[in-house]
Amino acid sequence: MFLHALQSTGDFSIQSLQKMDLWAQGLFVVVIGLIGVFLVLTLFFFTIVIMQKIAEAAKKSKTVKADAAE
Amino acid sequence: MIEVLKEILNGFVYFGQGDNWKALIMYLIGGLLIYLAIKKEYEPALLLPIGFGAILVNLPLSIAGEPTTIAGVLDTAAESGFLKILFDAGIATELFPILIFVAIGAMIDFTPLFKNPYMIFFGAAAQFGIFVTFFVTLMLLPLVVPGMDNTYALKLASAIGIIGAADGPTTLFVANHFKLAEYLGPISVAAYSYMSLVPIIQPPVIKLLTSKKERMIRMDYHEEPVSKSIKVVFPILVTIIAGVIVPMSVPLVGSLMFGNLIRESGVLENLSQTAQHELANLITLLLGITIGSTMVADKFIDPVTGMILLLGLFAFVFDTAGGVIFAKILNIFLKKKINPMIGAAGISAFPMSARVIQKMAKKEDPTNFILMQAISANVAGQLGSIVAGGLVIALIDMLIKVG
Repeated sequence: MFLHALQSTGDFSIQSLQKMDLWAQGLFVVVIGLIGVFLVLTLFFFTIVIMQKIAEAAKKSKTVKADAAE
Repeated sequence: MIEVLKEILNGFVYFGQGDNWKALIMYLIGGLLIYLAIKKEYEPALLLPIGFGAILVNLPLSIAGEPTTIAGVLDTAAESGFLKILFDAGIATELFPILIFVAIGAMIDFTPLFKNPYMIFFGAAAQFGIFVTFFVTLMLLPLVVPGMDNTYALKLASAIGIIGAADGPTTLFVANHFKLAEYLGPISVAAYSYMSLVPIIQPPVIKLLTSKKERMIRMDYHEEPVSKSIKVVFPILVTIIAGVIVPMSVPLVGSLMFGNLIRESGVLENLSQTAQHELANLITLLLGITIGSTMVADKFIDPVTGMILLLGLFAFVFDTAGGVIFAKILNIFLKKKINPMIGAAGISAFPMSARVIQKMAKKEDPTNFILMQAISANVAGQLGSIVAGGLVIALIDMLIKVG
C-alpha cells in the first residue's frame, strides 16, 4: 500500500517518503522495520553458523595432525 | 507571627492552587509503585526508586518565594536540583541506558544460542508487537491529541511501540533520542512494569494461541561444548555487522557486546564481576530515581499517559503473539516440530520469559524440559530488540529529516 503511495508521488527518494500520508509512512516503518530486523538477525545467524564451521574444521585438522604425529 | 504561620502552611496552600492537587495523585501513584516493588516484588530495583522519585519531584517547595517543585526536571525549578543534574548527565546524554547495556552484556551467556542458532529468528519474530503498536499508536494519536504535529506523532508512536521490546534501556534510549522528556516517565513506567508482569501477561496469550498438544511438544537439545574462540569473536562480529547495517544501533549493540566481550575474554574477571554487580546496581539506582523525577504531575496526568500505558500492554501482547504465531507457521514446514511457546520467549525480558515458558511446559507435561531452547530465544530477543530500536530510530529520523 505504501508502495502505491510512493508510486503516486512519482519517485522513491527520501523526499517522496516524507511527502507521504502519515498512515503510509507508518506502514513503511512497519514493513521495512520488520524486514530489517529479520535481515540483521539472519546475518547474525550465518555468523554463528560460519564460526561453528570454522571452529569444527580447525578442531578436525588439529586431530588429524595429532594422529599423524603419533 | 502570621507571616511565620503562612510560611509554615505554604506547603498546604500549594495543593489548593490551580492544578496542584494533581501532585496528591502523583503521591498515590508513587506509593503504588513502591507497594508493587516491595509487596509484589515487581522489578523492585526500578519501581521503588521510580516511585520515590515521583513523590520527590511533586513536593511543594518555595524557592525564592515562588512555589515550585523540588529539584524540578522540566525547567520549573529556579535552580538545578540534584535530580535535574542527574537527568542532564545520565538521561539527556543517553549515558545511563548505555552503561546498563555494558552490565547486561556482562551478564548474558550466548552459549544456548550457539547450540540452537536457528532460535535467533524468534528474536526477530517477537518484535512484531513493536511495529504493530507503532502503527496503531500513529493512527490513534491524531484522535487523542487533535492537531498533533505529524513529526511529533511519529516520534511518540515509535517510543510507545518500542515499549514492546520488553527492554527498559532500549525504550529509554529511543524516547530520549526523540527528546520526549515529558513522556519519559509514563513510557519508562510502562516498560518496566510490564517487564515485571511478563508471568501474568504471557501465559493467557500463549494459551489462547496454542493447543494443549502443541504445548506438550518436546524438543531435542544437544549438549555440545562451544569453543571459547566463538564466544570471543561473536560480540566483535555482531558489533561490526550491526554497525555497518544499522549504525543507529551501535551505541546499544556496542555497549552490550563490550560487556559480553569482557565476560567471555576470561582475562577480565574482576571487570566482568564489577559490570554485573556494582555497575548494574549503581546505574539502576540512579536511573530509577531520575526516571521518577520526570513524573511531574501536570505532565504525567494526561490522556496520553493513559494511552501509553494501554498501548504498552498491547505491544507486549502482540510481541508474544508474534513469536507464537511465527513458530506455528514454521511448524507447517518442519518435520520435527517446535514447541510454539518457545516463540513467546523471543522478547527481551531475560530470563523471566524463558522461565515462564518452562513453567508452562512443565505444567502440561512434568517431564518436558524446554528451558534451554527458551533461553536461546530469549537471548536472541535481547539482540532483536536492540536492532529493532536502532532501525526505528533510523527510519523515523529519515522520515522527519527536513528535505
